[in-house]
Amino acid sequence: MPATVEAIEELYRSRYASYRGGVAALTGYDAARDVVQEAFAQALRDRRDFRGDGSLAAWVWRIAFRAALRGRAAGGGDVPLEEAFETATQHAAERDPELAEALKRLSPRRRLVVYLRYFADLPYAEIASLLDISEGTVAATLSQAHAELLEQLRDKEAAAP
Amino acid sequence: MSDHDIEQRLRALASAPDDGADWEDVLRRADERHSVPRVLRRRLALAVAAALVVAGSVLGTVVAGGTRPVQKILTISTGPTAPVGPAPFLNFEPPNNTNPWGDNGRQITIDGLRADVPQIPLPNAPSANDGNAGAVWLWKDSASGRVVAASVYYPQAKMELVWSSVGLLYSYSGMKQRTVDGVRAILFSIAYEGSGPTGSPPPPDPLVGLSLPVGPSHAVALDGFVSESDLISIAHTLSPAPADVSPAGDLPPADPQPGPNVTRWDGLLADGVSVSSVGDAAGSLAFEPVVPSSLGDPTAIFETDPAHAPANDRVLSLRYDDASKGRFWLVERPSLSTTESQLSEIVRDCTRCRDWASILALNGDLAALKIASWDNSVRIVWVENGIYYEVTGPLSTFTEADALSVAEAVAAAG
Repeated sequence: MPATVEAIEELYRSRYASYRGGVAALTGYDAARDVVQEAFAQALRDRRDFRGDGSLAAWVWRIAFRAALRGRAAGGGDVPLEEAFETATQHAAERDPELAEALKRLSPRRRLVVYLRYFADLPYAEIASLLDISEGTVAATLSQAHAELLEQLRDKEAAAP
Repeated sequence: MSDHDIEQRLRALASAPDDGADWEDVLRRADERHSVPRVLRRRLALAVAAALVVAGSVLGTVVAGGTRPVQKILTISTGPTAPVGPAPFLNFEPPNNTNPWGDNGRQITIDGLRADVPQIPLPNAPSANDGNAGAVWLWKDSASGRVVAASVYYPQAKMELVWSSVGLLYSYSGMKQRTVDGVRAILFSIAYEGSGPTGSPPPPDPLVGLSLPVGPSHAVALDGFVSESDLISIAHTLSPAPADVSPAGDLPPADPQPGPNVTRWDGLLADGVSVSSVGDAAGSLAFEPVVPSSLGDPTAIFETDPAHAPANDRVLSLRYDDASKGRFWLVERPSLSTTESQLSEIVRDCTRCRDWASILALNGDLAALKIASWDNSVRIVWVENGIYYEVTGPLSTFTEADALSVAEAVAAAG
C-alpha cells in the first residue's frame, strides 16, 4: 500500500525533531536539517514504493539514514563522527548540560545507539537492522550506555560541593 | 538516580521541540527534484486546461488504477445543462503507447476501434492515420457497456487522440478558438515543465492541444509536441468529421461566438432546457432532487434536455439570486462512479492541488471538496446518497463562507 502525502506529512510534523536528532548523530545538528528535509522530500516522491510491510516511520528513517551516510561518504567523511556528535549535542547541552556532557564521553558506538533509540525514537529491531547487529546487542549496548551515563552523573553529583 | 531516571532524562533531552520543521520546504524540494510531482503538475496543468476547455460547473473525477501509478484524471465535466458522467480527457504523460486508463483500459486494434465506436473521428494525415497508428486503448464501462473513452497514439506525429464523453465550454480565458471545418474548436498550449519519469529532460516544445466537440456530449482532443498549424492540419483530416458525427442527432455549434472570458453565471450550456418547477424536472431525472426551502425559491431552473441524454446523464441546475449572497447555483446529478473517497484523493494524493483544493466537512461529518477555481469562483462538491452536488458562484459576490452555508443547508436536507 503506497504511503499517502497526508501520512508522510503527519509523520513529519509529529516526528521532525526525532529525525533531526537522530540524523544529527551522523551529520552534526545543522547539516541534519537538510538531510531530513531531503529525506522527507524523497519519501514524498517515492511514496508509491512504500509497500506497507513495515512502519512508515522506519521506511523514512532508512531514507534519512542512507542519505546521511551517503553525505558522509561523499564528503570524505568531512564531518568526523566525533564532531557530528559534538554539534548534535550542542543544542541539547543547554537543556541538560550534565547529561549532554556525559553523552559526549560515551564510546561512539554506544552514543550512536543511544541517539538512534532516543533521538530517532527507533525500536530495537530497527536499530539492529540499521547497524546490522542483533536486537540483543542493541539492548546490551543501551544497557551499558545507561550504566555508564549513570556512573558519570553519580560521579558528578558526588564531586559537587 | 536510577537507570529509569537516565532513560527519562534522555527522552526529555531528545523530545525538545525543534523549530526547523518546514513542511512547505519539503514540498518544494519534492517538487523541484523529481519527476513525479512534475508529472502531477503537468497532469494538473493539462487537466486544468482540459477542464477549462470542457469547463462547466460540475467537477467530475475519474480514478483509474492499474499497474502503472494510479492515474487520476480531473476534469470539469459539463455544466448544469449538459451531459455529465465520467469524463477522462487528456492523458497526463507525454503522448506514448502506454495505457492511459489503468485497469479500465484494454488494448484493441485501430480497426476494432472503428468498428466498436464508429463515431470517433480519427485522422487521415500522412503523419497520423490508421496505417501508422500506435497503441489504441479503449475504456468501456463493464456494467453498462458504454464506451467512456478511447485513445490512439500516433508515434510519427508524436501526438495522441483522446475521445471522451465531455462537452466543451468556450468561455475561459487563455484558450484560443478556431474553426475547423465548421466546428468550433479550442486550442491551447502548455509549456512542459518537468522531466520524464526517468529523469529525461523536458521536451523543448510546448504541448499543444486542440479540442473539438463531437455531437452534444463528446469531444475529441488531439495533443502532442507539434505545432499548432500541424495539429490543425491533422484535425482537418478527421474522419468522420466532427461536424458530421452526431449520435444524438445534434450538431455542435458551427458558428463560434466570442463569449466572455468568464463563466456565464446567468445562462449556461447549450442543450439545457428551462423548466418551471423542480417538480416538473423531477419526472425526467434519475434521482430525487434535494432543494432545501431555506435557500428560498430559485430564480431559474434548468435540466438537461431529456431528448439529448439518458436519465443518468441528466443534470438539474438551480439558479439563485440571493439578496446577500448574490447569484449562485446548486447543481445535482446522479453520482455515478464518483465517490466521496475519490474527491478526497484529489487532495490527498496531490501535493500541489492543495493550492486550490481542500477537503472540508459539511455539518461536521460529510467530506466535501472545496475548489478555489481558476475562473474566480468557489465550488463545493460532494456526494451524498447517490447524488452528486455542487454549489458554486462567483467569488465577487458569493464568498467561501456563503458557499459553505449553502452546501451545509443542502447536505442537511439531503
